[in-house]
Amino acid sequence: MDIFTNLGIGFGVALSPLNMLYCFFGALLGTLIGVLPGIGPVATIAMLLPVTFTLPPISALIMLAGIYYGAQYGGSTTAILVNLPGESSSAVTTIDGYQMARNGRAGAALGIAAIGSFFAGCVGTVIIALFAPPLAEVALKFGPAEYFSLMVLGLVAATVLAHGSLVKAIAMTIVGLLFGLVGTDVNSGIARFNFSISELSDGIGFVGVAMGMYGFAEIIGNLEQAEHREVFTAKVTNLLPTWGDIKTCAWTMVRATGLGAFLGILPGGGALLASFAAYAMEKKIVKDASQFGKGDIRGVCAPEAANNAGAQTSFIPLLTLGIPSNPVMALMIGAMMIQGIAPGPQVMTERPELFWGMIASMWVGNLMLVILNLPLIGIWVRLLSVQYRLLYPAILLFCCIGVYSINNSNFDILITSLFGLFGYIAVKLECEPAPLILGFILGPMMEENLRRAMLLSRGDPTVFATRPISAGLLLVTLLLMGLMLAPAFKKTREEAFVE
Amino acid sequence: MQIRNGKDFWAGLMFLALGLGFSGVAFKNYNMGTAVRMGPAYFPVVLGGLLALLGAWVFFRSFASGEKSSLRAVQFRPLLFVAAIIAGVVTYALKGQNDFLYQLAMGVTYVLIQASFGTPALYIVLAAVVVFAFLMKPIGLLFATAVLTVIARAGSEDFKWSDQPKSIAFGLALYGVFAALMASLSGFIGNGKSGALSLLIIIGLGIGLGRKIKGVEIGALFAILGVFAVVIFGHGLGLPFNACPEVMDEACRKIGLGS
Repeated sequence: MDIFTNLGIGFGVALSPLNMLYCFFGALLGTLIGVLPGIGPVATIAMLLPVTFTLPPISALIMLAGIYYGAQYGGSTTAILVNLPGESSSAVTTIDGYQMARNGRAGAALGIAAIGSFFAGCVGTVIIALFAPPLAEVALKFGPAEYFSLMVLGLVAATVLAHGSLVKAIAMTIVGLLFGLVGTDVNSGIARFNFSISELSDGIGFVGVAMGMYGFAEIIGNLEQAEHREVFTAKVTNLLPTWGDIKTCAWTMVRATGLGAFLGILPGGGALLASFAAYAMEKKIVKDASQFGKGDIRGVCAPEAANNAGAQTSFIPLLTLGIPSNPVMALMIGAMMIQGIAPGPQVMTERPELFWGMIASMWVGNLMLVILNLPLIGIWVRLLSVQYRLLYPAILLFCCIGVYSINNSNFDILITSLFGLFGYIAVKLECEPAPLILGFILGPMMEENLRRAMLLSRGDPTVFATRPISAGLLLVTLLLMGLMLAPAFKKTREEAFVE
Repeated sequence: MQIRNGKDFWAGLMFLALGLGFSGVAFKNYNMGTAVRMGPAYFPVVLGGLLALLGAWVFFRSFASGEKSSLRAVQFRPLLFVAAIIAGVVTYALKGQNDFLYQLAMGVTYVLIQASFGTPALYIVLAAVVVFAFLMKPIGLLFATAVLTVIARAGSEDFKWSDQPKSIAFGLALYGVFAALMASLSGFIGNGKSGALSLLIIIGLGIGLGRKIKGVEIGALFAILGVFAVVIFGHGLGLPFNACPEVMDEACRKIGLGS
């Protein structure tokens, strides 16, 4: 089987001492920021981008990937012990996890979260290995028309999966697309929307936008709501759940992993949505749901398995199509470009060691996390008692240094501060930042492909409908939009987000 | 007519303004081209128009919304906003005239814009960032970190002005210890190792003394952060920073803190 030789290459790369070290470092750091509420993977990866300049490409990507799935692990610890989501994707875990901790079963909750995550991580890795190659094969046949239609689908799907009002989500996507166009136009060489500010002729830095809208906005949000933490430091004994617990959770784990993996692939999906959906589904499916919300172990296992599965499979669109499905993946694209790799289907054929090495490293990283996490919980608990007032100046400083060092330009820090303001206002007006970030990264690509497609078809716009793959993608887009307008779906969507 | 949903009202206006702005600027300044050969204005004009339409929809929806919310979704201070616009005009006029005044005016503009909105947490944190951006090159990373930390902490509840002189003096003293350590060590064990060792010592001193002496927490924090940034980002990762003020560059280089 081809897959085994490929995975062989991958493990060869992932198990080299240097890459193991970076994988470990990434996973550890990811867990750390996952544990700490108030700083998410987007800001962390953005902060660390300059660090990766000096690394070999594969080590850099392995480390950044580790941060993302590590954060999903770490988030559960805080959710269970402090009743605060350490990571937004662990928000549902607080419901049953914290109740379990109050009932004296914190150990079992932490244990099942780790086991569920590990199981989902393994399955997620296998899914990527199985589905990415054929998908990349298809993607190699894509022309500009197909890419354009795919991006339209991606952006529309991202708005369907966003919180809140659909119209506002679409509008935010367009704002992102427009901001993405600032800078020199590749075709004509004209600098657009730069208002004769020379720094803007290279465009607005993506890291600055992400850092402002996530990093700074998170800090400000945290400062506005004075938090009170009640940490369960008491004693967390008996980390291993009982055999009965595992039996109760077995099917939950499988179902949640499946759902999470599916939602992770969708544009706009990823860990956050997966965890919410899995919890809601589990509550509907199980026979006796009366314990949900009062410390049902399945209420911990389902979201934790799903968010990890979603985190893993959201790499699929990135690795096969070169299209990010969420802000973290958009940053990964940035990291690849800094390393001189153009993300897309050709990565797999031209740089197989990179592609398979990254996949193999995810499994290695997941294993490390389980081994790491259980004995380290004591340390994480102590970390949680670090006051936020000591933490946020540090986050702020590292954000500034990270943004600065990309172009050695203090102008980028100023831009970041403006996006901090914009992100704050957007959140207050209930406009989601995630669609904007996706639009921002896709804006130039979309325009480029639209232009090329129209040039190739000699200005005939029907090209998008006559090429079969493109037509199929647009049909799915239309179906999605139709669904959005259907009252029944609208209602379920609202309900799903309320939970 | 009554505005029922304040959030939609403002969001709609924002989208409308952005959409009209982008398509207007593009239409006026750049070439539209044709559908076959699209000019640089084509895509932004179409997108901007679409955004303006959606904005108008959200705007009008706010009058008939079932969901009620206050018009004051975000605090807004019109006076400061007007001041920000004036500062912006001044900045524009100073461009190419006097670099120092130009930078100053630009910094003031940023701070005023941000102070026009939201709660103190918002504008104090962002002001810290803006000030840091302007000061980083001229006064170096160590002192810029001190400024960033002190301003940012002014946004938290337990901030006391009366503690600051003592606290800042404590932090600067730690910087002094760091400089002394570097000066005495870097000749023997090289810049990298002496940096790492000094960092450990400063962290130990900062945490140990910072806990014992009352009211110097912020000083200890910025000293640890500043030394950490210089050692890890400057020495360790080789990112190009000035650790010290430009005027002290010569002296800094001697003790292994040059850029």
